[in-house]
Amino acid sequence: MVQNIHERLEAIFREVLGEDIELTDGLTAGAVDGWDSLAHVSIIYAVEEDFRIRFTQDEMVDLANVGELKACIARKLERVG
Amino acid sequence: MASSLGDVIAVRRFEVFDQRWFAEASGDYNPLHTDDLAARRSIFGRTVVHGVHALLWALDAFLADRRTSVERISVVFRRPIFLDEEVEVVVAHEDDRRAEVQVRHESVVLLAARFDLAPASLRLGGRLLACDAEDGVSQSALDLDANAIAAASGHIPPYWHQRALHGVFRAAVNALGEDTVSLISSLSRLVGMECPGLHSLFAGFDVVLAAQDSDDGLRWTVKRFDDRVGAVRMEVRGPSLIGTVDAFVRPRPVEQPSCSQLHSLVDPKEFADMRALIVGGSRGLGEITAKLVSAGGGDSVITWHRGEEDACAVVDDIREAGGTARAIWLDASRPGAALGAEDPVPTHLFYFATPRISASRASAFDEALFRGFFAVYGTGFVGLLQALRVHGATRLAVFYPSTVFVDQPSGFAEYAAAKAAGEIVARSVGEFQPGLRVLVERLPRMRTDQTESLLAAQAEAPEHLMLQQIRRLSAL
Repeated sequence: MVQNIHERLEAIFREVLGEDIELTDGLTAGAVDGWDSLAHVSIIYAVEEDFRIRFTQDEMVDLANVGELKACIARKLERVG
Repeated sequence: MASSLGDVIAVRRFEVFDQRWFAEASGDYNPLHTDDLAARRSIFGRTVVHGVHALLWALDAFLADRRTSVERISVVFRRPIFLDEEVEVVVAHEDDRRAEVQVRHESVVLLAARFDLAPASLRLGGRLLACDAEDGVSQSALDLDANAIAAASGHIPPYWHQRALHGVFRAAVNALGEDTVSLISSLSRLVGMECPGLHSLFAGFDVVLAAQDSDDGLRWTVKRFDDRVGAVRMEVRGPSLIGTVDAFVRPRPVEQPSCSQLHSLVDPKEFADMRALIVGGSRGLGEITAKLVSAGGGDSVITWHRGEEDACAVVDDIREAGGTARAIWLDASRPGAALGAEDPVPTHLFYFATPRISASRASAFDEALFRGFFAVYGTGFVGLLQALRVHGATRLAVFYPSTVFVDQPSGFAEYAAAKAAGEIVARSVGEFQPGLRVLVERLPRMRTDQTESLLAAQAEAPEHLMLQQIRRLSAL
């Protein structure tokens, strides 16, 4: 499942940011040109739509890097079975 | 001959005059674009160019260069465009059906647009709309709350300021017609003045340019409001345009607690011997410090650089609560003789001077940006101490605030480096100059205008932490 999350996230980031991004777990918004507040929200919306999950306000704001985003998605997917 | 892919097809700097001009042309008078002082207290800290103005400029440049037309425009306003910075229009990709056009500053993409191409003969309108009015067009932005935004809809009458727009965007007008260009500019008014209005941020739009069964003007309806992050999606429709608009509700300027709210925290006499000079006291941590010193019975002189009204409001609040304070102008990068001969000699200095905290857009480390920070955090600080010494302040307790960004610069390398250098300077002068006691403290992120962002990161309320620091300094 984790591999699947990774691949789907790569596609989402490519769509939102307009270029291929190597998504390492430690990657943060500050390290990627174009991953600003607006892009972040677009990524979150795209993830919600693609995975059919919903983030809380705190999750939307607090996710520190790609690894946390992946872990959060995995937790939510487990919960919904 | 048309330029090639990747070529720069237009270059310019937006200036103050352009802001007023586009406000009149579009009806978008939002203070973020037209009021330097109000913009200073926004998350951007300075005046921002209307995104739609930049889009129309890029569209016009593209159409003039390619002699074609467009049938759909999709744009994302990725980053703010500031006044007086050189920006360029670049065609990043193009094929038979579409073009990706960007507005860049030093290779950083600020605006990314996609134009779906149409034959040059496609022209949707062209008749001049009746309205040529400043009269009757409100220049005050609405300030809708979350509930109002979620249920909002409306109509923006045709707005086409002939005098303002005469001869401008000629290629866009020739290709699309004046009413279509007018409708596109109305999108700016929609977001900046009507919904979300005063505290708004235009994220982007996606519109198809095709004849619609619609009245003149722009009809709009909120289709989705996400209160988690204040994101708004609206549907828009006009005689020659249909599509969606995305916007955000911007954080409001941070209101610090009033003196009367702070009185319960402080013993009314605990700072009675303090004559404080508070540099950068018109807002944020300086404002809180002035109010706390006053609540403890001390006198404050606060300095302001650009926010005279803010400084006067702080002084008024202190005086209304029975305290003593006054405000003086000071450029912290050129402190000179900060105090007049009649001013009392301060016993304590709080040095909250700061330029707008920003990061380099285009490089890992921008030396000029670093120098700008250090002119305040280092050179200006030393210059002020010298001036105060001349003024008679031979015994002085100094609070020099630093930041946790020194430990984790998080993309703000120049700011963090200047603060780190400032720490060393502050400690050094403390050791060198007898009578000077210097307290250097790395403060956490606290809620001020400077720390607000679109996605609210955690930030502490500053009054308790600052009271602790004032007490430490008082005990030195």
